[in-house]
Amino acid sequence: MTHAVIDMKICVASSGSGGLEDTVSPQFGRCPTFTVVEVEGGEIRNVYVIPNPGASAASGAGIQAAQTVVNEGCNVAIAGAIGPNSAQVLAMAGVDMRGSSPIRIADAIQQYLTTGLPPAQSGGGMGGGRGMGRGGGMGRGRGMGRGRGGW
Amino acid sequence: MELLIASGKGGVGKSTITASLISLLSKDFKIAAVDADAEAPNLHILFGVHDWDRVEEFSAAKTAYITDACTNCGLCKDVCVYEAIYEKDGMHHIKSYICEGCGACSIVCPVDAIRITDTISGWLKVGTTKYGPLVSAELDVGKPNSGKLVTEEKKIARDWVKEGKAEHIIIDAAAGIGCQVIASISGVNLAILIAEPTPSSLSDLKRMYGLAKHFGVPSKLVINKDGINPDYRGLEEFAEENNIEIIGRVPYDSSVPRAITALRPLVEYAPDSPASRAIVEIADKVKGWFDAR
Amino acid sequence: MKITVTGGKGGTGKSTVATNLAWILSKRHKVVLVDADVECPDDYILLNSKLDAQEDVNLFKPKFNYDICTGCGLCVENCSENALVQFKNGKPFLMPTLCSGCFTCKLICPEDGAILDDYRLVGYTYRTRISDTLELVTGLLAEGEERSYPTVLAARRRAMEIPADIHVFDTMPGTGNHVAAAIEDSKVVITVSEPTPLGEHDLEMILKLLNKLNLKAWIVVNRSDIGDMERHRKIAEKYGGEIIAEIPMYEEIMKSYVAGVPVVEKYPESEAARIFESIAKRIEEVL
Repeated sequence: MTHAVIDMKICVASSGSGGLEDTVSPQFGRCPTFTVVEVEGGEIRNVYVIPNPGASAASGAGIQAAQTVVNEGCNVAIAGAIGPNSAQVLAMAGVDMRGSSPIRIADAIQQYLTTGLPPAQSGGGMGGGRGMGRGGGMGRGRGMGRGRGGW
Repeated sequence: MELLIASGKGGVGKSTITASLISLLSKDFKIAAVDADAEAPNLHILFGVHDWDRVEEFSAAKTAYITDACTNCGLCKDVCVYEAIYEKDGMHHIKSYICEGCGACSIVCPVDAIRITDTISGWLKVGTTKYGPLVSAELDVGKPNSGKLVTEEKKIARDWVKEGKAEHIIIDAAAGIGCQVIASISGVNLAILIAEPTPSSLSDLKRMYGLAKHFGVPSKLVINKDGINPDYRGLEEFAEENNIEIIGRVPYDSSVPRAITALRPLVEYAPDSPASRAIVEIADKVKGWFDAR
Repeated sequence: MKITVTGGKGGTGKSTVATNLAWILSKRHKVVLVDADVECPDDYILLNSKLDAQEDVNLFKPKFNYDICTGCGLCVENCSENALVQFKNGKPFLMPTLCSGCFTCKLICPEDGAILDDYRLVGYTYRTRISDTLELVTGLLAEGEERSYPTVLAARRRAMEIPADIHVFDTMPGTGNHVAAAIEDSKVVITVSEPTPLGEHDLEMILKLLNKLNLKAWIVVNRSDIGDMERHRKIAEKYGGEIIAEIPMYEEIMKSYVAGVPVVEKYPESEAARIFESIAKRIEEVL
């Protein structure tokens, strides 16, 4: 299935300093950098790298990472795995979460644009009464931060 | 392959089993060991490591301190929910062993006399055992474990795999349920969850299982101290409901404390003990997974 | 006077020592035993009693009034736990499980009424009357909660409100601030450890913490017959702790543990009871 998306901003959790030649990080929240890939008409138009403030956070790394990605205007996030806190924030912003093995980022993007990537492991919740804090004033947070990228 | 050994709270025999598995598996594979349980690191003790190849200071915590500009108005003391600020002889002080660096005090301070700084939260330690490379961590007193520390440890082990120093990684998971556990589990291929037949251990197991499931990490269960609570079926019921394979039952065995005292992995200290035999069977299963990759 | 019983890891016999000492001391003084091992409080089981008079431990969490909040983002920037999220052009919201309840968001908010007080339940405290002269205050962490410090603090507060000659604290394992909060201001700190390599490591950690707090340790070595006491002595010497008692594995301790009666009550003539009695005497000398 080809993704007939005209305008898209894909964020890939990167293992090193980022860029298309870097590899996909197995983790989202504490990966060092995000490679942001702007796609138009199924073609890569622009690539840039942003640091992940979550990498050095003592706590709440996933939240910082997800917030950064959302505020960058990305609508797709690719990583090996996306943690419960990150997933919750990304889901609220409507970011599509996709999983990938630690391959070259250029290949992961290609795969996403052609055959697609599987959904990232997320949203399963943690069960066991832990409660991932759904509810609690989140309704107000929806739909914000979509100003960039366009649809 | 990255294998996580986890249990929730401590005291259920996680390290005994981890040390024995590493001892057994290192005969056939190059294993990198990660001790992510920085609040009670003990793989290095069980492996008799005294000298580290490398020790690095690690900073993942913040703390507040009061500068000379302080007028001793006491506003900071009133807002500190940790009760970390006290007054002595008219001067205000912050207890560094209590403070978590939230910064509330610095906001209310009318003369801007309070600074928040990064503080050393512990040390990252790299060593070599007769079973292969080991990365461990030790926290400074009063400082919490953090996901950042665990992530650093795993990164070191992953580099060993890249450099060919190791083929597989075995991680002794951090205790608790917070971000250090999330960091322990993220990116691993398989989790062995260790529980003992008690309700409190089951409640830990449920949380760990839920977290592993979130990450799409398949879980296997080992029942430790099997037989101490013969009427209790909680672990079995939970495993059945969730389709978790029970890969081993390690009986309660008096050679365990003696092996710890002798500073040797149980399977070497008492290879014929019932607990050792159970762990050997678990190791054989793990070997199968390693071979399959 | 406050005394504390602590020790590195769980399962070293901390609670056995704390309950036996509290029991003996309560024969001659008014005693409050504080079970601050909030993850796994078991003093009430060892005393064959139950948890009474429950009180909730609530922690502040911010509640946003979005009619007033301007979305300036100051609270998000200053949240040291990264528990607040704000999307571009949006308003902040909370990830409750990460919130430490520190009030920083509310203090820094420039708009009056934009952040209101809300609470989340993090634990419970209990008060149990064991005898005319012995009361037990217990802290218990709520299911699934990880922050133990607020519940330890609440148990400490509740216990210190009860007038007594001696408050005996039984701490959590480890050396975090939840342990420090129970230990500080103690006149006597008793650490319980085992003469095993892991026990030695734990002893070293707790002695380091005590040095930081300028407190001297009285070391009680439990199961003293299973390992190497010489190495224990060296560690004690290095950090200025004093080994005041060595308790071998006694059958009476095991039996009384199972019966839920302190060994000093069930087997008052036993060697174990004599050791606890001698520790109690030393505590009374400080009193």
